[in-house]
Amino acid sequence: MTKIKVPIGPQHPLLKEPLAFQLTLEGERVVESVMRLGYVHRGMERLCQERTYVQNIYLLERVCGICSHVHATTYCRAVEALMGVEVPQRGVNLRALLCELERVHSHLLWLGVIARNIGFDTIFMYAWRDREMVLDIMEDLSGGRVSHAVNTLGGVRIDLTDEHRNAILAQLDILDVQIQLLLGVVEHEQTLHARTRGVGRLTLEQIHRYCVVGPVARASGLDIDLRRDAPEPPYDRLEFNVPIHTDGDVWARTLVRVQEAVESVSLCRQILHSLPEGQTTVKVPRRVPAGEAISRMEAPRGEVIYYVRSNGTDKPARVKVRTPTLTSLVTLPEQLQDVQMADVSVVLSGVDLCIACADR
Amino acid sequence: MVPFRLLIFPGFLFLFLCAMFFDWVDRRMIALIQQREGPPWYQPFADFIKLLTKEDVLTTGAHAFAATVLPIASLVSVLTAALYIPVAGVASASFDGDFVVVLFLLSIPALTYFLAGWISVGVYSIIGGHRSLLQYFSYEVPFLIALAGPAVLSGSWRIADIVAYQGATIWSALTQPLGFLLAVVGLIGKLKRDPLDIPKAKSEVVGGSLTEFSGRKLALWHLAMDMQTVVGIFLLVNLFLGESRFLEGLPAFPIFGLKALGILLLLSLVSALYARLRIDQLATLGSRWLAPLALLQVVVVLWMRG
Amino acid sequence: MSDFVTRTAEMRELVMNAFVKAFPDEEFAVREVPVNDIVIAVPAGSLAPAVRILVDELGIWHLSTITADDTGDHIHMLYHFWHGSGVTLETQLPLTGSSIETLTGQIPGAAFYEREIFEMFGVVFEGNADLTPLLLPDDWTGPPPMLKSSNGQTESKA
Repeated sequence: MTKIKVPIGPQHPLLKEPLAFQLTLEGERVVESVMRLGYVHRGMERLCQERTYVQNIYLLERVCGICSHVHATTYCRAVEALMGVEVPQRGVNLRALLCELERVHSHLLWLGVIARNIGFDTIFMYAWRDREMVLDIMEDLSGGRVSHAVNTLGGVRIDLTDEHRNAILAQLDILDVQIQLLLGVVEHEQTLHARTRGVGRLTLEQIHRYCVVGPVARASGLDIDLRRDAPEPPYDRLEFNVPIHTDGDVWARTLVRVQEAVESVSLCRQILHSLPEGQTTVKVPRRVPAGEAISRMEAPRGEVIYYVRSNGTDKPARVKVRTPTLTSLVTLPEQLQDVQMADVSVVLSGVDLCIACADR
Repeated sequence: MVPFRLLIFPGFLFLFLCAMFFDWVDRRMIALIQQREGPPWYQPFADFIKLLTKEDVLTTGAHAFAATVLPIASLVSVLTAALYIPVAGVASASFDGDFVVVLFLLSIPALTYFLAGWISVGVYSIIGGHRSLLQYFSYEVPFLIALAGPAVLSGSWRIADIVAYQGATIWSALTQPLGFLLAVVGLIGKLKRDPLDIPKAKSEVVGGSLTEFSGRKLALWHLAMDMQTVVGIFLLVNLFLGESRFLEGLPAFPIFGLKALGILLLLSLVSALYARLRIDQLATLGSRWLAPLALLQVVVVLWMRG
Repeated sequence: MSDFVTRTAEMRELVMNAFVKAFPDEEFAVREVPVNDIVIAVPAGSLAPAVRILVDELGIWHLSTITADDTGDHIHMLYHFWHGSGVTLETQLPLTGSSIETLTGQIPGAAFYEREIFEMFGVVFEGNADLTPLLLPDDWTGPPPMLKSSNGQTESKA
């Protein structure tokens, strides 16, 4: 059978961000795939060395659109650890609130994207309509739908009145019902099962070898979640489940993400109900003392790790960012081996690509 | 009389307006299910006119003559088939055996779609054309068998007679529900609608066979597809929901319109509620379910015939 | 129940005991780094064996990332592992012409990290057959961009 070379990207209706694949097909089967990253490489790590610590918060928020807050929070935590500053509990809780809202937003966005890629436009519309609700909540909280800029060194710059809090709680109730409906669809809809079950399977052993994190790892049976395993406030006093499945295919990943969204809504509620009083921010020293800090957090796609080194000047000497998408991308050549052409879109959607994160 | 029938009703102008109208109803219905508003009534006209004004580009190496002729051939075959399909009892022409001619003419669009992919040089076009042919083999035979059921039962190969036979007895959809179901599934495959829009799956093959087409040629392709929807639905209405003695005395045209819209709404509902199938899943569906059920339907019809 | 359950104090004891047993002639400097990591200094030649101990003996297989840092005098390499709390192995490499043994034989997941460090800092990973550019364009002809020398920066001291 003759082999055809099919390019996927850098521009393709399937991809939301530029990423290039050169697939070699034999009939409808993929026999080889070559991946090329770097289309959105902006040199963030280098740019961080030329900006002050505060300017870097705004820069690093733009590493990714969907997990912007978690990047800024991880960075701030690292710098605050260097400065030896402890953020007041109210500030910590508000940061966590936004992290969880962002997780819901990210998973709903992803559900819409994968639904569209398998031709299931109805779920795409439903998921993105619910996502609008989350975006409205985030906009009321921070002023921005996707880019929030709530973090400062030492805390957050937003606060909640009681009325506002009750309004958010009411919205979360509606959101809960909607997400349960989506969960029902994922669990029971036959055509969705037909397209996603058995596709893109990763065994636990492969997860170990490639050091995969996040929902992709959890869907293959790896019990990892930084919020629970390295509990920082407020997660140390909140109750939540970490959904784990063992199938390792795209359907398992879908289940994990939608169930996580349900858990995140519950977490938001718990945070709002138990928001401590007090300041949201604390004064920080003018200079960051020399030293190193390593900060990790659970972003919607998995573990994000920041290494920050200060040499006592007003600009960091090194900021290293490793985003979770990179760990999923490493598994793609194996996932795409011997897959049908139609499944390529399912596999690529299943790893929840955030190329801006991977390229920085 | 003949020019009126050919050009106005039930000819070209009527079909054109129906194509636009059905497209709008389809999009509106899907939008309602998806809890959004959907486009205004003039959207299909606007899309058509917009495409006519766009630049007509063709890739290097594509067969220019074929690229111009294929969409016209597709449109012409659908319009010719429409000559013999009565709308509320009024047809431009009718003769014994026109049923077979109609089925033949309605298979031409599938061929032209495949050829369009073949002659465009792009990789997506070739894959889309390839898939469309695979899809054609999966649904066409069950579709033809299902449609032949009412013809066999009525003992005539003339559509007008098939309609009249139902007027004397009862709708074929009620005597051959399996055949009706197969015909609807076959129509979804023929029209390349979700969940069987595999040849033009945007996230997989970008635009399928028509990826490289633009401007006037694409406008004609879309018009041909919209008209095929209308003609396909009209054919199904005539064969399965023909005349009925229980509805005698009621104005024929609105009744016909309601039946056609009913089938259209059924198609829209199915489009909205399911994800797209994979080509091998369709092939399995065709061989494991559609073909055997079609054969079963044939056996039942022959038994009913006596 | 989590697959990762070691806390910082336990981690320190666990890893140091294993290293002392495996490398009886060497002294490893350990320090604690916020937020909850321990950093162990390892000579460049012993890095791959040390990783083998972490992965095979102690079951600490999750490599978060590999950081390279141009401190002005040398390239500071950090291998971040995680198992409930973080353990990082650090080593120093010369600024130019440096090379170190690849980890992709033991941990295939290190592939992208090593590729990025190769293109950004110029560190060669021996044994890694695929050091093609990850993020830089194919027609990049300049020096490794993250090296402070190649973009006119110097390591400023406060």
